[in-house]
Amino acid sequence: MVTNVTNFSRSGLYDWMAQRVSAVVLAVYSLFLLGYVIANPGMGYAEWHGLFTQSWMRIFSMLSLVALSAHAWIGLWAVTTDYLTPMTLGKWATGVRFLVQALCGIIMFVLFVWGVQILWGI
Amino acid sequence: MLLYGLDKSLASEQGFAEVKECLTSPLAKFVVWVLLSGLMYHLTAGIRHLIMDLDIGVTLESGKLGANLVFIISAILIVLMGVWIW
Repeated sequence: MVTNVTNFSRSGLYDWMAQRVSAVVLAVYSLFLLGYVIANPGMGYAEWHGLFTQSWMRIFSMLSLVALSAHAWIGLWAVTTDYLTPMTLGKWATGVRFLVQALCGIIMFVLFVWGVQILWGI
Repeated sequence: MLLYGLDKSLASEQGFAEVKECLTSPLAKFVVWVLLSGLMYHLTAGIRHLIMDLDIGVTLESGKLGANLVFIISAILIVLMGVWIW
């Protein structure tokens, strides 16, 4: 049996909702950024830098970074609890799953802090 | 990798030029295309997932149609991304 101690919110319903809200935020953000780059061919540094120094863009980026972290954690939690189980790995499953989740968590944390640093550093 | 690019491109004018220069290489273009392809597929399948949360397309028939639509739409988007990049 897979016990539920590593999921995002200790509540499946809350995880479900968080995953969907963060999905919408990420969809809007990625479409916006992609659209912006496509709409501005040959963009220079001034314009690119200018976009990310505006308050609304910083808030929008921060929101998306938080959403990305939550979305990635819930998504990878679902994948690891689906596939890294005693059925696929035998008796070491819990240990392996915990280590994989810990590794994912550390990577996500590093990327999150780095992202904050970039957004706040400019 | 993407964060490194963002960091460098925002840090200075010179960094921006370097990132821009790097993105002209065929390998970098290919990598960006692969990453965008993953994003496009994930995005299309994710939107289908949200639509199915609304109880639309949850029968066997419509589920198959939806899955096929995701393949077709994401394939078109992936090709378009390729056209844009090259």
